[in-house]
Amino acid sequence: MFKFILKRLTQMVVVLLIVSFIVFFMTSIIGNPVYNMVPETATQEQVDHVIRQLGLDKPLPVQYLIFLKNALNGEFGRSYKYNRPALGLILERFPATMEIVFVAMTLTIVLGISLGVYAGSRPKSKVTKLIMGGSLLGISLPSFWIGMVFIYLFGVTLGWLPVSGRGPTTTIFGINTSLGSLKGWTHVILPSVTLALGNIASIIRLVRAGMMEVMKQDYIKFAKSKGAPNNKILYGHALKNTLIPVVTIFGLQLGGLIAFTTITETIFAWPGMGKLLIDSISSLDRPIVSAYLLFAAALFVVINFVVDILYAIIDPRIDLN
Amino acid sequence: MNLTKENGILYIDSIKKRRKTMKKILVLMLIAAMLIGVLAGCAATEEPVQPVEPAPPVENPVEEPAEVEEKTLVIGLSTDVTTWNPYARNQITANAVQKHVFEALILVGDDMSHVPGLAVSWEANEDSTVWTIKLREGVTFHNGAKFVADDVVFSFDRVLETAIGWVDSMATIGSYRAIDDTTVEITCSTPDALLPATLRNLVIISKETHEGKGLENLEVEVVGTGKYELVEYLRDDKVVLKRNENYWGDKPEIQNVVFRTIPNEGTRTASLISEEIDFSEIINVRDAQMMENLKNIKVVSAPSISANMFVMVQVDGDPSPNSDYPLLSPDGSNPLNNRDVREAIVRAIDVNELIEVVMSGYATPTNSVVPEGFNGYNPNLTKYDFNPEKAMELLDNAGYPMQTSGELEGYRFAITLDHQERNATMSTAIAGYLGRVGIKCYPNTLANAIVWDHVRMYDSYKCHFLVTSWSNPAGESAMIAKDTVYSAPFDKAKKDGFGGVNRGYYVNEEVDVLIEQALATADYDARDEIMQQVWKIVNEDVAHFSLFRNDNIYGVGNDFEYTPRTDGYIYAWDFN
Repeated sequence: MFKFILKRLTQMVVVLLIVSFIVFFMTSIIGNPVYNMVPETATQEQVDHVIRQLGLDKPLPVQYLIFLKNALNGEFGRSYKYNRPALGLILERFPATMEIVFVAMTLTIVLGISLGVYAGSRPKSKVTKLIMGGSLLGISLPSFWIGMVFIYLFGVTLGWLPVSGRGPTTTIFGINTSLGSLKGWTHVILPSVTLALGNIASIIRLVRAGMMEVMKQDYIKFAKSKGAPNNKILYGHALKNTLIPVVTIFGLQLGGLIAFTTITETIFAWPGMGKLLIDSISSLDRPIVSAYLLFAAALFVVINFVVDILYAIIDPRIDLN
Repeated sequence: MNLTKENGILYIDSIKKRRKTMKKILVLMLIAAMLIGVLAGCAATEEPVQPVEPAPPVENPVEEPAEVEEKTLVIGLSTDVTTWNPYARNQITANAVQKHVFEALILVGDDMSHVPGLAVSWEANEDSTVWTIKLREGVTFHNGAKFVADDVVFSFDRVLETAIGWVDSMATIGSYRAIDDTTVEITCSTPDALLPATLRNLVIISKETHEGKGLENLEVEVVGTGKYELVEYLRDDKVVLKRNENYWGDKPEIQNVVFRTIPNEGTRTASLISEEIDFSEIINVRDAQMMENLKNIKVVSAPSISANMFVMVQVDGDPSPNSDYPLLSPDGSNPLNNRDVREAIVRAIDVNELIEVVMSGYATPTNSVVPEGFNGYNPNLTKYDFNPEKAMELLDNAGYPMQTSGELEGYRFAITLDHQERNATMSTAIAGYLGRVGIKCYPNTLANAIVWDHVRMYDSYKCHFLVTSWSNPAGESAMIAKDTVYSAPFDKAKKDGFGGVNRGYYVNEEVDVLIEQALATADYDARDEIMQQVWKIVNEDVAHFSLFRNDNIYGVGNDFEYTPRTDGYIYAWDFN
């Protein structure tokens, strides 16, 4: 067991090193951030001064080593634009992104699994056809389009929900969140649903496919003949056996949601990490881009790790070693 | 093998033990993850900027009449203010928000004139090298600190230290000192009759509040002398202001102002239509046409002071050695160095059609980069009207006939029009017009991230024909001329700080002398006469050309009235 954990930790460090290398060198190819910061009329002297200030005059490999050294101390550089520690800026926006991700993931689990189980256990019913049609739409329609349609429908035409922005925040368990108030929830709903639709659709299809296959198995027939209650069969026996691929996809979706909510956040003017990322890319704010991508890479590695552990719990036949 | 039965399922013992260990590990990891999440949340949870302790109330307050209902104005902006260090960044939206809280020595009147702000008078000596500035008495910062001359000295020091956004403004300031609590003396390194225009840009911060605490403190304790105080700032979300009840001058009508950052145009328009915000800046042309039909919104537009500026590199030989899309001419010479060729280019473009089709009418034609009303605006400049036949005649006579063979077959020469993303449609149209008179033009769109690197003077040499825009809110065309037409020889700048945006490398000694003279002339009318002469020469030479001035388009909800300002700055006190 511990050998397993150690092996995975080593893998994580290797992955992060490679990612940091790639990120660093790729962001240094494109453009010079200095020219985006100094006034157009700046003299060469002023430009050189800023270059020195930002440490951009040193050769690239040296800059990379300095970057690594600082990273090991937890410092991922100072944002050129905001002149504050990059990691701090990212973490500052973390709670906002986590709010919509949390609600989106909860919707995905609850709706995805329950609708998928229903569709899988009653493949021929009319309701199932409706669910499957809906899931096709969910997968095919792009999230930015859905977001704008929601804004138009619920915000502008019906006026039921606010169009943009985050609601008022309160502190729960020491975390600043807008989920504490009803008004906060009205702001959270549209972006979360926009995020969740595609994911719910995938999960429904996956669970349904798995369920249909499992329901034909002998042990299900055996349980039915024993007189076990229907719910128990569905959720206790059948679902557990379909969960491996579902958990894998879920892990990937979760990582993607946390790291790349960019489009939804831009549309809904939600002050999260995704918006910070896209703004930093356009203004060539390299420290934030590097810090963010490293953060995303670490996130994916950790999530994958948890997913592997979950496999072993769900299916006792799997031996991690 | 031991078997046990649990919940109706048979388990093998060894597997059961492994499952138990797995479950333990998972639970531990979940707890760890939650702890990390909470810790990250706590660590990252930044206290929104603390509201400032209100200044102690004025003694013997006058009896207020019955309170008017509190009004809140919600403004939708396209970008965030990003920082409360007023010297770190020079961008119109951010400047305008900061100017609600901070003030400069001299304020900008509605007609762009100088209005006494923290300074009540300013006088120069004979040759405009020493300025004496008398400061306003009885002013306090939002936290009660008194405003004195030392604050001005402290602020100027910080501008130099920050070295990025506003450092240009200090170019002519050699030294400065506080003579007493209400007097500041500034000595210029070169005669500068226009120093007041520069002083309008430099807001004053409090020495008492920030001394010894480093620039970071500017983000934490946001105090100024302005009409509004900062109540709350949530980065990239909103800025909440309330009226400064101890303001030294006329208090604005609106008590509460909220600036909301909504970068996506569609979302901003939707917020305006659903009445979540009362005002939106930068409405794009198509939305404006749609909103004109809505009952709950007014569309307000005004010509901006910034005009586009087309620049052609004037030098013998290859004007853009590092270009990926170099200039091609039959004899290898640079056609843009020929004055008549430049006139031909202007005459090839149908400005009115361009405005109607590309800008949907939301632009005003102009042949001068200097707006009307500025000192030095010359209304009598020769107009090079749309005339493609004349253009072709000029090109023929200049020695660039249509080629009948070779790689330029069917054209006279080939050039590349470098432009930013936002000018893409216009540039494509212009390439079309030029093609019709025999000039092959490739419209090269530059991504925002690389454009300033690409067009940099003396470093990149990648462009020979480009379009940007230029404006200067000071109302003085001498400052525009100093930057855009003061000589800039191709291989080396003539004078530091002058001709910094003269991307055509235009050289004219006569113009240089006149510009320097204007900068040293304190008398408004005398300066105006000199500058009109400058722009006449520049126009005759076709050093560069402008086609039109964009309109600034705004959307306003029915609860408020808004009068747009010429300089495009959005202030809460222009609403009622």
